Amino acid sequence: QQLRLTPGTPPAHPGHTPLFTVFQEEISAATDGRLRSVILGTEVANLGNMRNAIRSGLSDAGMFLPAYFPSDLPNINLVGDLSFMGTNSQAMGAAMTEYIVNCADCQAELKRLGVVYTTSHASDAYQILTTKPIRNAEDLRGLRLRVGGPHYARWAEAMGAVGANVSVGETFEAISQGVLDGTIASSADMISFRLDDVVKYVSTLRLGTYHSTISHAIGNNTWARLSADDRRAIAEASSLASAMSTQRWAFEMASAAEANARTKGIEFIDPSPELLAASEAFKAQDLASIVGRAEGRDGLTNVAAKMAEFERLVEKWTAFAESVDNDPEQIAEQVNREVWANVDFTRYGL
Amino acid sequence: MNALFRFSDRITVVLALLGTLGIVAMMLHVTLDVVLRSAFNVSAPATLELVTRYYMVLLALLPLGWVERQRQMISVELFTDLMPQALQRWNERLVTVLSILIYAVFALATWEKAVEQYQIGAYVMSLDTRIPVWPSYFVLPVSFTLAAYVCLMREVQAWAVRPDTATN
Amino acid sequence: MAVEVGFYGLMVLLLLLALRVPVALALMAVSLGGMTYMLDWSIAFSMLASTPYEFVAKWTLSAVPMFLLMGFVSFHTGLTAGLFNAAKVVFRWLPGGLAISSIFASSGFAAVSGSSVACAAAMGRIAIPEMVRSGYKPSFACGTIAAGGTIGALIPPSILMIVYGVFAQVSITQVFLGGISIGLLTAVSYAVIILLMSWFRPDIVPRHSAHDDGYTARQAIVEIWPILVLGVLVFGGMFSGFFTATEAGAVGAAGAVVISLLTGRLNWTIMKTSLLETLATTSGLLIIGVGASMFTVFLSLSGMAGFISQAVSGWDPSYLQLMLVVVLIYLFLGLFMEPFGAMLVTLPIFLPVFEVYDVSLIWFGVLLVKLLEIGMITPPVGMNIFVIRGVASQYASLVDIFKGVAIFLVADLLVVALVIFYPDIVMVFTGG
Ligand code: NA
Ligand code: NA
Repeated sequence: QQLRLTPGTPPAHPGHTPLFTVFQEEISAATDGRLRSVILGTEVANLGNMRNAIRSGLSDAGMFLPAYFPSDLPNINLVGDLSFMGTNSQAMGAAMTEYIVNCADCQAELKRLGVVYTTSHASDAYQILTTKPIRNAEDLRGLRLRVGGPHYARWAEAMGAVGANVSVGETFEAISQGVLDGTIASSADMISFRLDDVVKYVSTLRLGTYHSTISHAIGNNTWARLSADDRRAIAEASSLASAMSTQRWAFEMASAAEANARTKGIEFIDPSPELLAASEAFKAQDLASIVGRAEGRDGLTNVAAKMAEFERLVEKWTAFAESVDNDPEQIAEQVNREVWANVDFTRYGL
Repeated sequence: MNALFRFSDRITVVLALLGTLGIVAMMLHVTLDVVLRSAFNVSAPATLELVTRYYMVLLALLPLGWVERQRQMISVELFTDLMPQALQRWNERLVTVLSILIYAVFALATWEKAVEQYQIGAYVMSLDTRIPVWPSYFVLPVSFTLAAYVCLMREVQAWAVRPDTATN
Repeated sequence: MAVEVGFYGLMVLLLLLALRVPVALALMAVSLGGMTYMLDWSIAFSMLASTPYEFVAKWTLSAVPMFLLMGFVSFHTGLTAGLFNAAKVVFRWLPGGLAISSIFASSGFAAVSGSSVACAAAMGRIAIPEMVRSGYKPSFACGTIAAGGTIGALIPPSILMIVYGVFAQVSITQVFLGGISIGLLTAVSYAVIILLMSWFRPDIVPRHSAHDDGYTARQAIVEIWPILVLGVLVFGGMFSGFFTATEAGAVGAAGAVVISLLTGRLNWTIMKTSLLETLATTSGLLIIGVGASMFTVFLSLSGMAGFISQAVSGWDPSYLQLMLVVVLIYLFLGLFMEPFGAMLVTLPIFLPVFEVYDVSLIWFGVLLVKLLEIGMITPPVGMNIFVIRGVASQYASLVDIFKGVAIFLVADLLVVALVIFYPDIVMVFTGG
């Protein structure tokens, strides 16, 4: 049989190459060519309609961003929105994977949604790409910034900036028109969305990773049809593809984008100690405020324990990632040993 | 029978007027957002979410029945105009039946979708605020049902009026 | 074999269109049947359940109803009525001055209207009677306005360009900027045609300049300042960074309402008419978009779009051969299809081809809109011609108007050729 894969992103995006190209090669190799697949373009499924594409069976496996569908996956979004905990990108992808595979509440909501979780990948730590220089806290006042998530909206508000909800695709136009002063984003966006043509400054204040991703979300029916061995092959292929994607997004693209930015005369500005302190103060206070909000508004339970467990995993994987110098293949192998080796594939996701 | 026709007329107009509210709301909301941003550097709340998830859905889909009633659905008229009159009438009836079928399937499918969105209480995040979006999903089954109904009335009318006395 | 399903689907689509099934429903029926055949009924049903919502709930598409509303309000309140008089002040001294004025008045109207039909209707009511009185051959007068109307969709704002930008995933502002060049080029080419006609066929276009009715530049400005204010508001705001192209629609619509209120032109009936026309046009248009996005999924899954782009690569045409084929296909479709239908039915097939050929999709969008607009004035189905026939039925028959517009097709083909041989003409403003 042939699996229909939908990255939901164009070929140049790390969510397509290598996330799905490596996945495609690996599942084919691991099953001696039994699991063939075809990668379909964004005209078939994009990030906005991925939920329906996978649930309907149109797509057998697609990249699913939980933040697009907050009502479906509140438990995953709880840790997905903990960007500010992230410093090491490979560690964040692995920590997400280990956390979600073993989180009973997450698995329950995935089952209700009709989707099987595999692994996650992560961006580099977001920075602030702007048309105006940000040297200290005062410079942030009144700046209109695109914010890609509720936690960034709270950060912007706390710093006196104005958070704006603009679609990723419109960011370029909004900045070039002057409607936005900048965006909180991966430096890779300077290449992916041509932002290098419109921004003039990068504030190197690190604002955490985007790791709220399900790299290859498999439809329930597709998963049920597969043998336990094939399921394991898919999970392990996903580990490698995710680690490669993180390597591309957070390291290769980020450094290429920053080198390109420097040749274009974009100035990189380190935050003043006072700005750094203000941002750190917000992060500490915001983490503390999450428990109340998640248990009240979102109706989640045991939030403090869940956050503590996630934090433990982040620390564990950060230590490991640093010990192997962020090597994607070693990270993937470790994820297979530490996570997938303990999973019973006759029952997982069913 | 006549009551049914009148009902179809009236309800299409009512929904079309609701659609015009979508237009007016969109114009005011986006303009307000631009003005507030230019003058005071603040945003009107949830502009993107309300424009896409409410105003657009209202103004694009609610008037479907009305567009059908006005016979303003865009089609290619050239070839049928070459047919003999009698054949044209039969063709039109067939097209109407096909329209009824398609609208009815849409109505059913979008109804299931709306119920599903209602059950999970679908919302989106606008900055740090939740905006419920499930209500707008119910616009679709209403719109498609009405479009199917308008076509059904047209079909009934076509059969009720004997072809040789038809004036239009 | 799935590719064959794609071809059968395309044939069934053409058959349904010929049988006068509404374009939207024909696209939906074929996609639904094709998906069920290739995959499964439940997948087709599920696509049905989600596509309408997902397609219309788009931020960029919100500009469509807003620009339409701006145009309808400007027209019904008479804000645009003075454009012809104002253009005459500038151009009346030329041979064929009235016709040339009507072309440039159309260009001015284009800046506040998103579609060409509105442009043709508005100018037709004003300019045709005056041209006929001054000795123009009625069929030519009608043809001039029908052709001039096409400028309405070329000079931004343009609904066709917005919908193209959404489907091709390119910047609408960039396509708009390209539209300025091709719109002005079209206006100039029409003016040249009129000048040549007045030289060679004074029996059709009187050689004398328009008679000076004593109307001064001062009067003209008094009459058209509201529309100038609206134009400055929309374009100035857009290009000086107060709002994006998408937001410009809402600001323009609100601006048209406020200006016509302040000048005492707006009443309840006009507002209601404008709103209902906006509603009917938007809804009729977007439902085709829903069908087209379903058809795109069907064609992509069948592998047909890929098959055609590979076939084209295998044939390996030169740039000019490829463009010749594209031009011929759109001129043919334009004979009997309405622009949105023709565009949305063909984009799923052509866009992958152009991506392979590394053709700028911004440039192609501009060319495509020009080609589609030619279809508005070619027989047997030419919407602009029908509109002119509607507003000027006492002057010419349909056949006469088609004859009157024919000479402008020569100018259109020259413009198309220029744009293909010198793509920079379009890209001069887009900077891309
Ligand atoms: Na225009
Ligand atoms: Na035509």
